[in-house]
Amino acid sequence: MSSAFLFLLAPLLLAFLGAGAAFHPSVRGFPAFARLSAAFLAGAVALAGEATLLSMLRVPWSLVSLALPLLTVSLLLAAWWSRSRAAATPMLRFSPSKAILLAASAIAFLAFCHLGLALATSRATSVDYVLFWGVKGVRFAQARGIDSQLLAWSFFSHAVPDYPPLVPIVYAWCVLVAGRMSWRVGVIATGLWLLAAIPLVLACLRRRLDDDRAAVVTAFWTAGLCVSLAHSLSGGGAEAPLLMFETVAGAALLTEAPLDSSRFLPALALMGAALTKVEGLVGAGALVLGAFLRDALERRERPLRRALRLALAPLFGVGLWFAFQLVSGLPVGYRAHGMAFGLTSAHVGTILRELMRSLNAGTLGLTWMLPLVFLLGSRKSLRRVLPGLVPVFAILAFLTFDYMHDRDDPSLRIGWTAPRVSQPALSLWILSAGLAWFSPREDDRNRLHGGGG
Amino acid sequence: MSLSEGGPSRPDRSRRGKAAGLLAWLVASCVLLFPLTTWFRPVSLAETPLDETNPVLARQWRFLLVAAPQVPPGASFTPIAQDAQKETSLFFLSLGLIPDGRALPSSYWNKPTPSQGALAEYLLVFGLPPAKAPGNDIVAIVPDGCVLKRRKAAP
Repeated sequence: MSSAFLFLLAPLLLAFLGAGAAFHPSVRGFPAFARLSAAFLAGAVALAGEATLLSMLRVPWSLVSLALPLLTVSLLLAAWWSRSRAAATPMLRFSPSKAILLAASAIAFLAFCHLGLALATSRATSVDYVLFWGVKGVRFAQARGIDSQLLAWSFFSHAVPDYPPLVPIVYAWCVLVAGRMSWRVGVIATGLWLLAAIPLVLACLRRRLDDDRAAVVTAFWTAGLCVSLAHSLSGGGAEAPLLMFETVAGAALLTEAPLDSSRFLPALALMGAALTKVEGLVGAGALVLGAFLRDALERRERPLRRALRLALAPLFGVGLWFAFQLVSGLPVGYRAHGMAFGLTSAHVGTILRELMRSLNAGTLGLTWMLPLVFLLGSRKSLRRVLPGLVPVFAILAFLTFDYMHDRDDPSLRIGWTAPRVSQPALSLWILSAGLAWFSPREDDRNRLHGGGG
Repeated sequence: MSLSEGGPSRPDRSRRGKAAGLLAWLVASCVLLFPLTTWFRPVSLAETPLDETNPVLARQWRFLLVAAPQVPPGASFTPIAQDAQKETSLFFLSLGLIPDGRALPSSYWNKPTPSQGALAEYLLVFGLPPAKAPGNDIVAIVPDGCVLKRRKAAP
């Protein structure tokens, strides 16, 4: 078998490592593809956590030392959760009208063709991939662990040694499976993260919308994000994994039932976000805040307690990474872009202008503007989509805050980074618009059920 | 269920409203696909991950790929180029492309670091003829440059 094929196969094997998640009571009711995606997501998070732990304990990585414990835990969890009687009712078979199914599938297929071609022709490659994400993957695989000496080396500072380890660990896993780094396949594999998110997005939307509506919102989301990932040069970087984690967490929180007791899936996804990128922690915090505000305003049960419990997952993820830094003698925490409040107000106008310009998403901004129209048309439903809207504004505010640390004109840096790092916000923006536009309003629901209006 | 005089019934209105909403989202999705028009020309698979994104780095990538087999595992090497910027980017790329070798920078962050480069056994000379780095043995001439081995100083 060629190493390129094995390199592409390796990320798919993550679904086996996280297979236990597919049997969790809150996931078991999902259709098969969504459960497979949940297993993939859980596999990536579990692998990152385990590999970091093994590096802390100085246990060398190998396919056996990485896979065997996770497969065992997965099997045990699957057996344990399979016995649980608390499983959600299985979702009905996905049955949109034929015309909608055809149109939505065609849109998603064409969007994926665009992304796939952009990745295969290298039009969408992130330079960060060849400068550090992929490099760390190769070097970690070679060192059979997170190479703390490399991270501490003064001539490796360009590779942002403080960044969290999930993406390099996944690349290292692929190198261990394939026997060598396949740089071109690594770029193409970016599409897998988005592909894995689709069944979960659709399954979550179907909890609140009928099949036709869930299908068209998923089609719009797929089209918007495929074009954006290609346009923003996200191939091979950490943007696609972060996008998957934050989207899945957002979709699950946006569509959870008021009395739903399990936040297993969003917690797992938020841990993944925190282990993927520095700004993943910001997104995770904002998603927790959004869920809390929605719950508090809708007078749901124990909003603060549930929010704090949800926040534990990303905090645990980032805590594990910081613990590795501590044990390895590396500077603990994330390197700041200057003094926290050493802000320069001189460039605020430039920042806002360039940030707006960077929200192009490869469609002249239509991927942002069209959902805005839908949101404006459904103002009465905004409260219920706060878990999606709060992170959108929080991420954009954080980016503005970050760029205000630049003493020189930040235009170049904004143009280079904002199209990529704003994508989780774009994703949640689309999902919020879809749910706000299509969710039955309370007065409609009352009318339908014969209640007073 | 009561029907309003002469107008469509509530279920009819609801169905039409739903259809209009679905159509709006489908049309909006189709609009987002206009960048697909950029593929109406012949395309070829990339030779390096950077062919279309950054042709300058792609050229350096190709050079390092053919130079890499000339560096024995465990040996130290340094990229040499016309300027510190090129030496820096070559060093960055070499860390991933030649993981079995010990990369040392002749420049870092676009500033020369000659004391590091001087320690390397192998010189990966990009875009320069071997004559520009005299006093070394030629290991291989490759497209866009050559690989040299530093002569040990006489005892």
